[in-house]
Amino acid sequence: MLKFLIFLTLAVSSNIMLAQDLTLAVSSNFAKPIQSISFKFTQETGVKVNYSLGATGALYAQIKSGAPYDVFLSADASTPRKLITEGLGIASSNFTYARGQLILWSKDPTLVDNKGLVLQSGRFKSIALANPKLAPYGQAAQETLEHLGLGQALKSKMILTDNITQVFQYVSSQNIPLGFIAGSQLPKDESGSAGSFWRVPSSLHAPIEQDALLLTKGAQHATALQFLHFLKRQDIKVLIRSSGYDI
Amino acid sequence: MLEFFLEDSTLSAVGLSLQLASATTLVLLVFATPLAWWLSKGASWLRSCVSSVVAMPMVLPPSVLGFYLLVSFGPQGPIGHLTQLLGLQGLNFTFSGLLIGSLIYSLPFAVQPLQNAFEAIGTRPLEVAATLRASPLDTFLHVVLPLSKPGYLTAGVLVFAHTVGEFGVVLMLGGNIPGKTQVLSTKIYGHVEAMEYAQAHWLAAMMLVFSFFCLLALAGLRKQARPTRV
Repeated sequence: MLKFLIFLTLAVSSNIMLAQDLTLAVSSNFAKPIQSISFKFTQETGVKVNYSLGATGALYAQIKSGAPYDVFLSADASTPRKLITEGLGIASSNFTYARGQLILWSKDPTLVDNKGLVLQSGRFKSIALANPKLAPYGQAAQETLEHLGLGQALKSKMILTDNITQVFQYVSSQNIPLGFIAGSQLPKDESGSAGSFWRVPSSLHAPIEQDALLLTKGAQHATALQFLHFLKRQDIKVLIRSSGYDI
Repeated sequence: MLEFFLEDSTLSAVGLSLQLASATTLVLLVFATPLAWWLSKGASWLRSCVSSVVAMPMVLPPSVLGFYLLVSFGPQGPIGHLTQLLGLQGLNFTFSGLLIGSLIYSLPFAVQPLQNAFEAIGTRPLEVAATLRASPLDTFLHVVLPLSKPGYLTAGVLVFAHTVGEFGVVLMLGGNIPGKTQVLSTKIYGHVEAMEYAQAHWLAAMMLVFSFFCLLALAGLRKQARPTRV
């Protein structure tokens, strides 16, 4: 018991030592790039970066409940705006750090053509997209289908998921022949395991803007602002682009 | 691969999972004992109500339970108000918050095996002890506890395993912050989200192997602890 109490005390005191670190709330679609970005930031500034991955909606609920996050990297533009009106974020810090690309993807190397004509053909039993009500990429997928006049025709074939990670898992495990994923998820290897895909032109849907926000909790934290400037730097933008985003 | 296991964030997630599971098990076995004892003493309307409430955490999906705990611990919530009045820091995103969440989440897994164990003892051993002038406390410590050892082992195993595998509640309540509230299960989730399947597979496999041996050891213990009837 004594050992256990000492263990607990140590755990608590190490939490206090972490107080100077930077803590980010990051939408899970940005999981890959944030890894290299935070690594680079730590290399240059010596400030340790912790980040929590989660769905934008869950992160929002946590921020409202007093989460110790300094910076929020959202998957949309509306959640940061909501936080600003609620007094939880600094309006002047708000900017778009990445624009998402929508991809129609299949593991089958012959199914998807580079014009997306497969959608009209209906040669598939089902199609996965994230729930438009919950996920910005799902909303963009829905807009694309409606723009193509297929919203009604494909309704019975649609499988809606909670988030785009699930779409990716359904399609990559070939449980569903094709689905709308994020450019950041598209497998990079050219060996053919990527299957076939269509980059949906951004004219077919409203831009998927992902906004960054300095949270009120991070306002006195000088490195938080520094990190936001860091995200705007040219070499970091290149890194973000290479991860499958526009910016 | 070894480097990955020795990474700070992996070690701290493993450590935090173990700390949380052990703390939850210890605290819960102590607190569930009087509750289970009372519930095992006959049937009444109030007892049925309480035992239903005890089972409630099993009904709610964990992330929903986590969400409501998050809201009630938050600055606007009733418990958040209370902690503010007492001058304490908030419970959300802290180890204490995770502990309280886990206690609620695993409560039925402690109370029910204990209640069954107490009921199985029946009234006779207690009456015998009373005729031998044992005080109620004596009876409890020297008759009830030894006889219900298998119940305690079952409750301990269930609570420990349930807490290690807990996901929705800790994700909502803790925020998955590395080094602070990130446990093994939420770390695996992070790897899956980042499409780092190799890391996710390794951690999940490690968790399964560890749990298997824990459960195996306890199954052995339980066999030994099977009471001889008085």
